Amino acid sequence: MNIREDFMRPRSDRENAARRVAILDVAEALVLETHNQRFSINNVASRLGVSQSTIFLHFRNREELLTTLYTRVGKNFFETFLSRVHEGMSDKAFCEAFIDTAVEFPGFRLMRPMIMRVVEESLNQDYIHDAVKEIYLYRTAAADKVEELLKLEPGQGRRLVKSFVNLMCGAVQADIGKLLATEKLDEDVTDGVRSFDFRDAFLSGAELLMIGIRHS
Amino acid sequence: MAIREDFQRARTDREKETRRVEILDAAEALLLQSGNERFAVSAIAANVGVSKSTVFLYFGNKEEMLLAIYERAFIRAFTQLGETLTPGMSGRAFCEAFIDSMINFPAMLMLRAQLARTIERNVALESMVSTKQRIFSTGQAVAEKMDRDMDLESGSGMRMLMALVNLTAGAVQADSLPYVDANALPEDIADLLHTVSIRNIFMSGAELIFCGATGRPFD
Repeated sequence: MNIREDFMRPRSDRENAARRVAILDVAEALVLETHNQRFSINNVASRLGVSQSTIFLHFRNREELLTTLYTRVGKNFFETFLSRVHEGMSDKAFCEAFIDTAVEFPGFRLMRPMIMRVVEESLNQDYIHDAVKEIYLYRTAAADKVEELLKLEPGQGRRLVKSFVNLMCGAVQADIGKLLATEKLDEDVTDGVRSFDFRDAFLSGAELLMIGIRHS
Repeated sequence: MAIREDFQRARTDREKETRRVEILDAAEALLLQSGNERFAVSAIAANVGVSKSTVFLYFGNKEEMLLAIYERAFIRAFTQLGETLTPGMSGRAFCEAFIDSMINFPAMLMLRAQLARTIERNVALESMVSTKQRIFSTGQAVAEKMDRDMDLESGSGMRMLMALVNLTAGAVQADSLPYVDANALPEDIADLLHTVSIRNIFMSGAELIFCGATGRPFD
């Protein structure tokens, strides 16, 4: 390959890996700040203080960067959640561990609604297939661990985790901060919308899911 | 008010209501076609055959219009659901009626994702509060009918409805997965992707929610 030496900047594998992580860190920070993924490669490069071509040494395009980041935030989310649950904990504490992890690690729930556009744009790229496989593997591993932990019937762990993720991502949309700050609502309406609070809305539905899975 | 006569174009209330509905219809059509809410107000005006300023006579800004589309889709979806309820219907029949009514009026779920972060920050407080109150009473009427028709403990219908709406809103996000080229995937992942559709994901969780809320079997 005929790459100019200043672009190559010989690096050890370890240095390369660290650079890759630094790029993903910046991209994640941009998602968390803007709540969208409309940043450019140039935004990432300038914040990191490298050239755009350096980014392209690690990721072929913006789609590959976003897919890799989505895989990473999802993995972080599930690993953190699993590290907080243990055998013998109550179902309520289990649900709380899930939603508290979602509150503390928002990258996963922020990117989930947006990532499909990226997937659709890059259907035939191998990195999409790699990402789908990796996501599938760590999610099923997490779900199987949940199944064991909660002593569920085979297959029910995956079913429960999938429903938890959907319930959580739906509940987060119903943020009612502005509405509750007003005093123009009748009391029963206020009580009604208050239960739309992200955490409470999730826990209310999650309790039903847990009772349901215990009886199925 | 000193509005020039050619702008006022004396209309009856009924004519105004018709015009408002035309604008909402055009905007909703653009939303559904493009799959997002980033269309221009001028595109709506062109489709209705009026000027942009006419559009702004009916809606203070684009977010007011989006909120009105959301409210209309919400009320239509829940009205349909309420009409489908029959005394003694099974959990499965109810959950299928629920997801049908959500899928029939997709503007609701599409805009729900934008509500808190963009739409509600850009509309007048009065619009938001009155919209919430109308939406809440529509939902509450359906919830109370559920309590009666399905013979539930008072309040169970509302709790179940909220959980089902959230579950659906999350399931919608994952719906595009089947587009991944199944031939290029190992078999077990391909199997997984085939089961991924809003309806299947929804029904799997909805059964748990129904059984959890009622303690009854699904069928």
